Amino acid sequence: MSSHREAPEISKDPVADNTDVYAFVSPDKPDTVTIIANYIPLEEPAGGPNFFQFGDDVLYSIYIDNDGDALPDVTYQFRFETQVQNPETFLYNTGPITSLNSTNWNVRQTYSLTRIVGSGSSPFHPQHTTVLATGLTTPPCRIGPRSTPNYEALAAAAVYHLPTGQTVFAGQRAEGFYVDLGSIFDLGDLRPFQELHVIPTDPVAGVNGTKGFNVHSMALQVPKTELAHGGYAATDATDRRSVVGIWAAASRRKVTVRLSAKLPSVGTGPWMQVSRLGNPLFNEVIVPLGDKDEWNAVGPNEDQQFLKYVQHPELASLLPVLYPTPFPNLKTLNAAHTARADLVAILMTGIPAGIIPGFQNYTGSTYADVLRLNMAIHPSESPNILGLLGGDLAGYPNGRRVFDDVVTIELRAIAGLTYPLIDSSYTPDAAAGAVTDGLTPASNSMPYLSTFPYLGTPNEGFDHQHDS
Amino acid sequence: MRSAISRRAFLTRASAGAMTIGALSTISGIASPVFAQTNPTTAETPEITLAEPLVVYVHNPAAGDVAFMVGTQEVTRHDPELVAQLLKLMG
Repeated sequence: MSSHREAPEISKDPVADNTDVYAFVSPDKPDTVTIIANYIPLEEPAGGPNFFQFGDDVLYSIYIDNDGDALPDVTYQFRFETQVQNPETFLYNTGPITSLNSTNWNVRQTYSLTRIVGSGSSPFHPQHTTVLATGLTTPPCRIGPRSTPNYEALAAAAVYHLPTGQTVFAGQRAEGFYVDLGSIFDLGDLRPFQELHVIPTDPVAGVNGTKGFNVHSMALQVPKTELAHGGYAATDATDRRSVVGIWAAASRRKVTVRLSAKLPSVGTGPWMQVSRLGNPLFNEVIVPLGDKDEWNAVGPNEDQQFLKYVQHPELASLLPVLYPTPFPNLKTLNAAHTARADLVAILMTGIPAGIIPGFQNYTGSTYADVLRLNMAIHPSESPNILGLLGGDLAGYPNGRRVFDDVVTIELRAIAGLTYPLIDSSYTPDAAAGAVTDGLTPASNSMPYLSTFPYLGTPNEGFDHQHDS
Repeated sequence: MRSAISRRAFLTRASAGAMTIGALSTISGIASPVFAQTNPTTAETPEITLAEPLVVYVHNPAAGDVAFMVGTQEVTRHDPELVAQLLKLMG
């Protein structure tokens, strides 16, 4: 998956597991950027009576680097606190929840939003910290027509427009990332092309393994000037200041002491990062099993150590083995042990000017897995889910929109489709431009929203369907 | 022969160690959850008090390093004598 359960340690800690990060120029407010960080993979909507919630003991952070050193210059921190109104009942709600202050709503969660500005050497050495808001309310989970009628209104009431210029939401949303989990993890099978697999079967349509599941999202909409170096308005796409690097993370206290059954656990000591995410699928597909936990624990400023995995990705070697006939040119490229500079540019430095007409999202020579967004590229009026590969400069890997087909984009890039960007003499295999898991946003159960927070209304516990 | 460390001396030593880094990072707390407060406030650096739990952690007693944690602060001291006395306290 994008980063769902992608590493051994974090797969056992869902509330801290960063599943997706999105960053794009807001299509309906193009002077702002929307950043969404999702956590808690594969939430079953009917998962009561203790429905999903953020971790009170987790520090959630969204980081922005605006000077190319892969260290945060602007940080947004979310901290959550749960309140149980009536501990004498087992119920999440004792009647319909029709408003965010409903007395029927038993288990609630509020949060604070803090902004840190500074270019310190550590994310936890802030130079300037401002608490933007406290006591903001998350909406309840979407349970069913009796418990959470008119859910859209409940969620809308949890969108806050802060006097400091940010718009913020935190709460349950429909999973927006679509991927055929069942086939991909079955020895790299792609159902539409499985007659070409080394263990062949008849081709069929893709199956969306995340359909009908939910996630928990933190969504922020902030003026471009709050993110860009020196408050630049990001009006010129060729200006380096228009490009920012974005990633999200989750941290836990170094020590947890379990006191007794009656008392909550106590966390002490420094915050220790346990999850992070920039580009989708980076830790999942690029980093090998033995390094995945370490990758989650370090910042992108330490990603040079993972460069070799991008230069020589395991998946590129596997494709000609799993699909023996359609990738002869990729097989030759692999055999030459040529470093994949195209993938390094896409994932670790950004694409320099002069390679794609009218586009660059280069952040400099520091190798770092961050989501690079050129904020001066206007939102597309006719978006292509294949982003840059589809000729849409406003899509992945220029940031990432909620509907971008990042599985197909990265699959095709790794298959060699983007290698001509750095070697025009290379001819990609025809399969590199066709390979896909066969899914589009139409495979999702809930549609995306056209306005903040853009991810769809959560799937309902009472009535939802998974793909099969 | 080393004398057994007293609880008071232990706390004094640990607090002194922690206070040496008292001006480090600021992580804001959560204010009243009842009503949303959307007026920005500048977070203040928290002071370490004895009201907070103190965790002492010795990862490898043979190395003689002791980590003290209070709040979000951590300081490590090389103190084989303290490690030995802690082990003696454990019986």
